[in-house]
Amino acid sequence: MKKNTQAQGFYIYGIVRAGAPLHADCCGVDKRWPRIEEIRSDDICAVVSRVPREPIAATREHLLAHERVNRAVLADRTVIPMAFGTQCRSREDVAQVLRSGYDAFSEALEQMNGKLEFGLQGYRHGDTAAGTDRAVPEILRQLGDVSLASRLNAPFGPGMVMNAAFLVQRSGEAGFDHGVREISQRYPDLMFKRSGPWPPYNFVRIRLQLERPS
Amino acid sequence: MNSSLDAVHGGHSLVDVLDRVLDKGIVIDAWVRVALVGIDLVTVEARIVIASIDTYIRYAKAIGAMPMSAAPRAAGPRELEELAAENAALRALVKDGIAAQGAPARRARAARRPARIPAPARTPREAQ
Repeated sequence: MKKNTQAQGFYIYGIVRAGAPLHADCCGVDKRWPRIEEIRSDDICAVVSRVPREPIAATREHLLAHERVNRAVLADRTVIPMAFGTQCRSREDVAQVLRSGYDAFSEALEQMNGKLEFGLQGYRHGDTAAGTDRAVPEILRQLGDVSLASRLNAPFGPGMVMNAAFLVQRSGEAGFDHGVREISQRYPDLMFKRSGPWPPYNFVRIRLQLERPS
Repeated sequence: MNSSLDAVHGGHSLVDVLDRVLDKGIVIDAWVRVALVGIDLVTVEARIVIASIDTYIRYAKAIGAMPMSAAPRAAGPRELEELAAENAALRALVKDGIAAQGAPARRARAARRPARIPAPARTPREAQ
């Protein structure tokens, strides 16, 4: 397959502190350029792979690839995840994004160092909705002992009554799981689904804007 | 032993991925994302600027919790009630089919829900 080098851009998965080489042995969003690379500026790096210079569609395959890469990087690095769909035309543009957002990226990397996100969703069994209004704040309070912070998102889908995310120290994963098991026994009317580890999507929100010279 | 805990290991499900990757983490507005593909930042002298930053420590401060260890209690009963009310209102909005409008700008993250609720419905079609 002939590759048109003129038409390549870079898809950004997330941002890490510069350091040991990445161990991301997985495929990026575009199979033609599977390799995951780093583009460095100062002491931070963007985790990228090559993509064509056209907007990437939010397909199942692409969304899962975005998450797969971040998850692989997360195995031994702290990563501040990009929302899906950010790409630049050149290495230099990626570096420009890194320079422009440096203060925010660096602060977020500092705060999230050594921390992981876990999801915990609660579903009701059948029609038993009784008591869930009180249960959710109680659950958050109880898991507060084994987490650093929690966030509640809007529940979605049939039967979901709680959609929470928890920030947990890497070393505290077992303690968090223990807490979740206790919760699941304490609330037999609810069914729980734990997910993670995730990069800290719910605990970092950095918005970037484009500013053009007037 | 209670069997009501379902721990998801290995790959994440698409809905859980969607619940995170569309509008959380580092977000560049949609039109800017399109612009980035089309323009060359360096040659047109466009700059990316930080519009806002929120991290969990800032969240905790914003609602009066003091040290990091107090952060878990960040979501107090009052905030939970507000969130619950907001969620109910948003669900109603979405039901009425006016999902794209009416969310008070820059309120809690739940307020941004309407804008992305259509996304999961759109994705499976695109994926085919």
